[in-house]
Amino acid sequence: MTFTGALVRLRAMEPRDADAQYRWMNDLEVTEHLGWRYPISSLAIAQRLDGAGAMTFANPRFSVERADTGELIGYTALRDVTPESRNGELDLVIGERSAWGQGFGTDTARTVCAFAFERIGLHRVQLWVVATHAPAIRAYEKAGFVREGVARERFFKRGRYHDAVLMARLAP
Amino acid sequence: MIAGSRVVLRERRPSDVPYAQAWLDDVDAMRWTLHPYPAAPDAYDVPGEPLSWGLVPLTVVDAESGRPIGHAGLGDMVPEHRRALCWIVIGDAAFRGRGYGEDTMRTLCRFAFETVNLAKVELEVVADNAAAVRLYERIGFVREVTRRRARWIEGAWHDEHLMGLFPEELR
Repeated sequence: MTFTGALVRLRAMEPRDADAQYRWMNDLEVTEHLGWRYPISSLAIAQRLDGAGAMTFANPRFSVERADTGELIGYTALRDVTPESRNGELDLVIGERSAWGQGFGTDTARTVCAFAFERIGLHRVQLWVVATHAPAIRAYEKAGFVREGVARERFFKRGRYHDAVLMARLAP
Repeated sequence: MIAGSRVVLRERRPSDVPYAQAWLDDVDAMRWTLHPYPAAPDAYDVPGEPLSWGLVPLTVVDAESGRPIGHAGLGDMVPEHRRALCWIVIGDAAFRGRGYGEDTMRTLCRFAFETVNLAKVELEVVADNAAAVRLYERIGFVREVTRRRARWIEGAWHDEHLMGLFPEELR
């Protein structure tokens, strides 16, 4: 079963996604704005993927494919999903450089929100994004996320601290 | 601690076990429950972990004296559908038929809706347990399904109702 947006498809993660994830997570340009900061081994990727296809309410996670070509371009997940407050924290990475700047991130955010709100009944999806990552902030705004605040010097990367923006979208 | 008017629902404690053993040995208290066998000495489960989503077993105590009088709880929670099954047993015969069960059920359901954020509470009850069915209906539960000959109790078949309650129906 997949969840299809206008440009992307979300499907369960598979062991065969390991090579692409290995490339993304070791690509400094991909990880520049992310919390990922250590080199990661293919063994660690395989362990991360082991059982990742078995989703529950607490940890939905998907591989993102282009709807037109089927090419694997990224992944997205909801973390820290709380059944009482019905909140979730969004992870989203378009790791394939050839897919940047074409609306795939925006469409992934929209599609995973549709899953969160309609499929499992979450009330709020939030995320943190480093303030210097303007394209991501624009993409999330296009996907309906609202800036709620700026946490000063929350994120350390490239030898200095950066502000982090808290964004969230509420269930319609 | 969850306060009703006559009862308090609180976490289970090891000191509840002797009381619970007496309830589990009481034929009248256990007649309509699912347990056809004599209770083992460790039958009253006292969780070692803090309670969280999923299963919330509680002890019912008399608000005035603090005496344990029964048990109640929420289980089988389904996060996507936001529903759970509830149960209640007033094990102490001296507290039956005096509104303690009704207060317990109302307090438990209010907790389910206001604190756990459930959207529906369901229960299963033997159709011939008329007093219980009446009590649940007074609180607002609706009979949704009757499963025929669903329980074999003391040599006879009994039907069983599945009853359900939405937040706006609780009274």
